Amino acid sequence: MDIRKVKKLIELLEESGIAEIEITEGDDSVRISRYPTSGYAAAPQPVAVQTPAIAASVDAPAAQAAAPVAAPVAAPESGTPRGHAITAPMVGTMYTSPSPTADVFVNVGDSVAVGDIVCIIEAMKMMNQIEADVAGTVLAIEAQNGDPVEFGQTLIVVG
Amino acid sequence: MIAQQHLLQMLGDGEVHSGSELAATLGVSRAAVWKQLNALRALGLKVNGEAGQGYRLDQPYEALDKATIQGALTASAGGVLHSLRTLWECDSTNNVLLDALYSEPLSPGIASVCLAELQTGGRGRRGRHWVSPPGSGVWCSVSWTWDAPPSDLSALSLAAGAHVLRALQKRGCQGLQLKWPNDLLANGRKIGGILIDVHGDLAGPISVVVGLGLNLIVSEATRNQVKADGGQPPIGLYELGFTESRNLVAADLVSALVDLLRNYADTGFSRDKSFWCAHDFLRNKPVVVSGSSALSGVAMGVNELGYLRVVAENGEQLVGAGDVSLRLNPQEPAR
Repeated sequence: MDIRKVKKLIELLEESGIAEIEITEGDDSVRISRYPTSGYAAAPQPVAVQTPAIAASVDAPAAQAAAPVAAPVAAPESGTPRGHAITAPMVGTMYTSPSPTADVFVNVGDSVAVGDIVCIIEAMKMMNQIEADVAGTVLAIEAQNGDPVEFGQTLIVVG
Repeated sequence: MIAQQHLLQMLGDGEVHSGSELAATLGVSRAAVWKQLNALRALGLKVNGEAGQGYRLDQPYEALDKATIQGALTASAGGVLHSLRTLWECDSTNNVLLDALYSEPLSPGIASVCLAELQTGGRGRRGRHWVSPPGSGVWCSVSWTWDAPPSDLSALSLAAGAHVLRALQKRGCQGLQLKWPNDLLANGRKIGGILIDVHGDLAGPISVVVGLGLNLIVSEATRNQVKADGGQPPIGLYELGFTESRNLVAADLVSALVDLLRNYADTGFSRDKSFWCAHDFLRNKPVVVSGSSALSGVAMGVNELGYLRVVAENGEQLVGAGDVSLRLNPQEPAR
């Protein structure tokens, strides 16, 4: 994992109220904690850095009661949205492109505008288009194409 | 492309046509006709005959006719119709309507419809390729917008299956069932499928594009292609002894989907749930659900939100995502 990204994550953690963050990207995984890990029964859990624009899921399944709770983070005072997590509004399957042969919606490093489609979450043969709720640069894509995702799970980080 | 479409229309009468006759009518060389005939074969159509003997299409072909379809819609569906397009070819009818939504949002309360002879990029779940040679089925999509999303939007997927099945039953088609969430089965074999694109904000306004693919005839080539992709061998409506005109079937299906969308904000899935459960292919059968955590159990119908109820060792689980397949050997331990 790029050291600059790790540095960004540390900054993100410092600005936020959260104690620990874990990011998995392919085979790479990094966990950053404010406190010694020995003090935690650290079951790795996806942490949503910000509540999504469309968190008011109309079809959140019963199973979501056990889903990780989105931890809201105050935006930095500069006003520039930074390190926003776009999270899954429902349980489903992640798709990074509109069809298997098509180009991906976004790559890391791409800039996105509010309303741009960044991925699709499929549930019950409904392809729910997930839009960027902030403008910025894609810092990370946290779920792979075809991955099952849980409610509230971070899909894409935009900063 | 136009020559191909024209050629197929000429062969659609089921009679033998000589190469020179086809060439003269189309205003092209016989070599060009031969090339186009092979292109039709490559699309999965069975064209019998050789140069010198004449050619014959070995299956009925009725070209999509916009006026016939539009004229046969129910009054309620016709009354909210914004536009209806019939295309020769597109990547998928859902994408055509999605692109239209991107360029100009569809006002709430009206329906846009798109049908195509040939889909080059038909989509299925998990990236499965949905194969659709020209004339061998009905491939149609309907788009609709709500100011605020219906409360049980997730179950729209199941309600669409129920409405399509009911429309086919009204035409006298028997032996149809639904496999969660909305595969249409005839005698246990897949006859159609539905895929819904959801565009917009869950706080509203929100648009959906409901896409339906229904087989009329499944060619040997298509059957083999689906098998090779790991899918179950499909079947077509005409292979069940059904003889209704393709355009009238299309009008029935479009009407069923438009009427569903027109009423869904008021009725939701509740009115269709018992009908859905009465045609549930998986009911009381052992199933395996793939997804974030594999689950084995017995399928026990669906709840009001369209989630599949699976009774597993540790009690009932509600499934709202993932792939469900029949567990062929019930003794097999859960994976």
